[in-house]
Amino acid sequence: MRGLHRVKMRVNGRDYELEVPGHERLLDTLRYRLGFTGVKEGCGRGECGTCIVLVNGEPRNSCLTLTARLDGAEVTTIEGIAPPGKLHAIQVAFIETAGVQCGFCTPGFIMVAKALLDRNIDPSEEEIRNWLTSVLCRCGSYHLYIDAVKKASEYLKKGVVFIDERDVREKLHLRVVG
Amino acid sequence: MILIRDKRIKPPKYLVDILRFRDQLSYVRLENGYVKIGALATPWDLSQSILHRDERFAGFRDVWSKFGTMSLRFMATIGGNIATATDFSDYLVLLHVYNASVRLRGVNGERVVPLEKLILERRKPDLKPGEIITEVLFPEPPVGASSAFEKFDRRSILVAGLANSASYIQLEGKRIIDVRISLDTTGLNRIPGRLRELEDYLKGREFSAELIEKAVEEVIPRSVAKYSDWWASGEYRLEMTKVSVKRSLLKACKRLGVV
Amino acid sequence: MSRPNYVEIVESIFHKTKHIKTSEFKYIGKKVVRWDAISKVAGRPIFTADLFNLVKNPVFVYSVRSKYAHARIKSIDTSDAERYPGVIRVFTSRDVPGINDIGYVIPDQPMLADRKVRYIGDTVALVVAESLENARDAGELISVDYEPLPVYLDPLQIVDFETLREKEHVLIHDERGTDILTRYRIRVGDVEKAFKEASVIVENVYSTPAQEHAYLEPEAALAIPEPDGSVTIYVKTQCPFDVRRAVSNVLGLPYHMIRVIAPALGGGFGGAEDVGNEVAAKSALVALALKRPAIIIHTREESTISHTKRHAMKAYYRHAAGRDGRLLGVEARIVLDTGAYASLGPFVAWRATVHSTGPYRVENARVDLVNVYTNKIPAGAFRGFGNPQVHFAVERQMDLLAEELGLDPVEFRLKNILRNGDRTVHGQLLDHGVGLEEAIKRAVELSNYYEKRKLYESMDGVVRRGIGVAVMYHGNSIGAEGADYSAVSIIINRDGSITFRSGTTDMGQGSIQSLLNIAGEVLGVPLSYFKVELPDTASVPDSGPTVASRVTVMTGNATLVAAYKLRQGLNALASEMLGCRSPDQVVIEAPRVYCIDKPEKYITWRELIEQAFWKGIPLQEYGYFRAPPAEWHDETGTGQPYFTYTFGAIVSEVEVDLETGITRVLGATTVYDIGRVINRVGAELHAIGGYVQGMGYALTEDTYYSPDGKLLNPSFSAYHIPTVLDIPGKINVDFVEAGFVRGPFGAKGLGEPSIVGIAPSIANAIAHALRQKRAKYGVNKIPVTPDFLYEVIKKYELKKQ
Repeated sequence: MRGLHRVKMRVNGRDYELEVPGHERLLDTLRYRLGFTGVKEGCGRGECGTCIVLVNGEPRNSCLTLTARLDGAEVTTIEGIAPPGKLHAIQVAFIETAGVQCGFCTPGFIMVAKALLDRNIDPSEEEIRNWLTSVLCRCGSYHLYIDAVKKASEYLKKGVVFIDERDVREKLHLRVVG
Repeated sequence: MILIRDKRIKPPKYLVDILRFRDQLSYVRLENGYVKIGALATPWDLSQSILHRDERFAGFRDVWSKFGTMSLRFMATIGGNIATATDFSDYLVLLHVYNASVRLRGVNGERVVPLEKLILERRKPDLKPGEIITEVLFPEPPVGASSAFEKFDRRSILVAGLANSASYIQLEGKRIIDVRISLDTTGLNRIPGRLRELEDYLKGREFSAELIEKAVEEVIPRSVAKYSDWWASGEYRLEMTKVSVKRSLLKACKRLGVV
Repeated sequence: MSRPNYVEIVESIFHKTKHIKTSEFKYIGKKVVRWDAISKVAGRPIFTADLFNLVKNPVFVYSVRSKYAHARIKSIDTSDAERYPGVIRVFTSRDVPGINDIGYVIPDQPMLADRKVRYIGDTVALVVAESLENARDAGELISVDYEPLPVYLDPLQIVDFETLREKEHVLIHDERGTDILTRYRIRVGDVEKAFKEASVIVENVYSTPAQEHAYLEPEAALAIPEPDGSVTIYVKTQCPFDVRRAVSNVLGLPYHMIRVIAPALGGGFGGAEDVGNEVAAKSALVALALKRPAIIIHTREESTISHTKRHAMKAYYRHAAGRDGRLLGVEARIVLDTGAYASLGPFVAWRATVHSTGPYRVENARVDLVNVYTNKIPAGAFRGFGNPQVHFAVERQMDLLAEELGLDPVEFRLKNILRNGDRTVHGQLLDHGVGLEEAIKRAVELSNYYEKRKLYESMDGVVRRGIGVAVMYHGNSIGAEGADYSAVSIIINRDGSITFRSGTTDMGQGSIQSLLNIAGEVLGVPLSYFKVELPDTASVPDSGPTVASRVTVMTGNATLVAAYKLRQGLNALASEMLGCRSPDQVVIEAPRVYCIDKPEKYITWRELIEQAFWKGIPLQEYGYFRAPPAEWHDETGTGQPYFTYTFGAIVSEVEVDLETGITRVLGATTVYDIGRVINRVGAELHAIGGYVQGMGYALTEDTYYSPDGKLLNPSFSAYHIPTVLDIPGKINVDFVEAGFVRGPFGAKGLGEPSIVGIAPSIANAIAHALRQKRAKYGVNKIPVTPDFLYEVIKKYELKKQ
């Protein structure tokens, strides 16, 4: 646990060389060392899922992951899910289905949705529910989040992956959608 | 690690990261009549293996569907689940009915220990200093055998389970050739174990729902003790143990086309 | 007193628009992508803890908490902790410059314990260190010499359930001379006579749990000392202006030396009402003393033990009804458990009393309610605020009465509910806007209630189904609890963009979106013209607290007033510029502005604003709204407690496993009369989200203590909030729009009402599934956990039937 560990990792497409104490959590590295505060801490025990990021494409509770262990890993957070100036189709689907309330769990749900859709572009509702068990939502938006993943799947099946944020803003920000 | 952080157990002098061997130790293979699972295989790895495709291992699907949450299924390992050695170790409960053993490797060589001998007490597997679990292995079950795992609680997921059980059953027609049953805890020690008395009761008999009902009613109250705590009374847990065992047996039989 | 201008404005718009269908508005009642949706899916909003990155040279503050639930403090020795590496200073009660109290309604709660500790969670010292880790480790070295006192975890140890008299015991609040926080009562009509004349009498005892908010964002605060001796505090709070009051108290500083900013909130549900005061005051104390930024962040466990819970209730209810199914009278004795401190307990108790007879015509009532201290985590505000508790009891009673009378629960309710022209039990005349009957009818239709009720009764086997109904009402805003006002300011910038300022916090509920919909509708501009400013006591008007389902109505009215005033000025100018026949002929459909009869001839919004700028037409308006003073007579429990009520009907369908006692919710229908739907997305999310939270309250959520008063389940694995696998397949949502003359476009609130009727509807469905009459009386406690229900099933041998 003592001493510093040298870790090379790629976070959101950028390479970092870090020296971290053995007990440093990936959550803290991402939030406080690298400034990716879209990663949230709701419980610190792997139960709420608000800290979920992708490590080498797998969903990970970053509060239970030690950074020192991630030498050579590729990490994606909500900030890196789409290139600058774009939003991922999953994010757009989450906007369109309008389930977002407090927004604290939303990044976790989106990261899990990505991990799922990366493996299966056309998941069944049961599969979606099983994957979404990873995150808790106290505002009670689960129904809408299930719909959002279905909608994201539709986008991805059509080959739509990234959408210009400017277009999204123009089309959706404070717009009447129904 | 959470327990260390929260100061609920004494921090060890050394903490060795064995996940670096994940590539070497996350296999699932059938070899020489044995199913062998690398200690670092995650529930996700198991879900991608034959264990989730072959009805002889159906209990693995059950454990998976109730294990932690989906993201935790990418993090937990089968070796870790065993070494934690508590009544919450769902894979441990299931592996008991497969008569599984673990392969331990240390500086002084290698040994294979049956699960039942491995767990000395709660949170205390019989691991010597410098020894790690490298593999879980169990005899490949014959065709005509299947298994099931039962876990239920107030809510669907992210729960401890009121009375978790696993069953393995092999039928010939309706006759029970082989049956193994395990529980999250059979006594107050809160470590998983087998329910041999019930197994003996059932072995050789003709399967029927009535038989199972009668067996659990008769045997479980005298061979199982359950603890009480703020979550549920021992009495209720015992009642639920009957239900859990009954359901896991029925589920396993259903998978064999009986019921 | 003549009616203030703002009342005229609100009422005139109501009358002008009441015949317009909601679908005909531009923004009112529409689905609008909320103002913060894009930033939220991108993970960009800054929650309090996200600011810690940006701060240089901070100190970390750790609260050392009591190890005893009830004890006298003989001495505190901080010397070992002070010597620990990295520790800068340790604060105890002696270091508080102002008043060492953070009580919300009454001053009963020291910020740092001095003489006594009253629950495991009381802060005895603050350790300040260069890192959180060091502060925590040093916290272990604080040594407190306690003299333990008896621990009371059951309010019935404090008060007798029959007489509601205080029992002999070692006082928790010896300084008050009693552990009874408040008593309320209702005395209406002649209850004895009602029971004498009754054909059917139903009595039972009910209990409800101390529910935990379990918002996902734990509390955090950052206090920054300013060069002029003032302090800026970023803090998780629903009510920044209340935080300022509390901090002022503790520091002995005037309000204007304290600036409170509420960043994005990861849920509140009432729980972020007073704990924000506490963490803000602690961090501000440290920041000013050490002249360095001070950070507090709670772990999940600290969060759970440090913020208030929903009041647990134990109640005895007795109802009388005539053979014709008419309610004759009600008698109730209600005990609430406020835990170690009052928090908002007095107000919660009052709201519970007001609603204690449900949305029914009741002419004879005798209700006594007492709220008492125990050595548990304090109870305070939680969505519903005393109302879900009493509705659980009342709505179970209604089902039992219906059963005894041989009536369907819906038919029985239809005989007794409040309608236009009725008076509430308090004597308040409801002359308009009571949409309960319609809500029930629609909920029955949408859920296919009658058909399913029959079908489920015919089902056999160990897994049974049931369908149940509950109705509810909920007084809007704070009523007689205090001054009920709100305010906003709207600033049209010279380029035509609009800055929207209110002291209202958006903790996720989306009420700010309602305000934008109102402002946009009145001004005639696309909502994308608006930018919402964070609540900041230095720059936004005091909107009052973000509580009590008051934002859409109260702040909505203030918004309506501000926008209306701006619109009046702009109409006059535009009429002049365009040569319209009169200012009210001006249509603003920004970017176009034209006379109604000549749409082709238009000027642009920007031109209009530029012209207004030069002509001195006000482009910044302040909107204020004050509710008419509520009226309450303590002796009789009568008056006008709230200016209006939200009504609702909920139908739930469940499946009960008789072998395990486990209940699953299969489906649900909610119909609320909210006067007018303003923010459709928000309203639907409340209906759904309130249902899901209410499901937890009904089935799985409870707090448990060890005999010495330690909370046993402060984690998400042991405190069971619903997961994605627990929710029903579908929740049908519909609204009745009965209108309210003093709501913006007729609107009423939905924030809290959305949880009030959920638990009873689920419990009623469970009782229906059990089918046996005596067993139904057994469903008198929530959460209906499997072990509890199994006991009922076993006792009445339901499996064998």
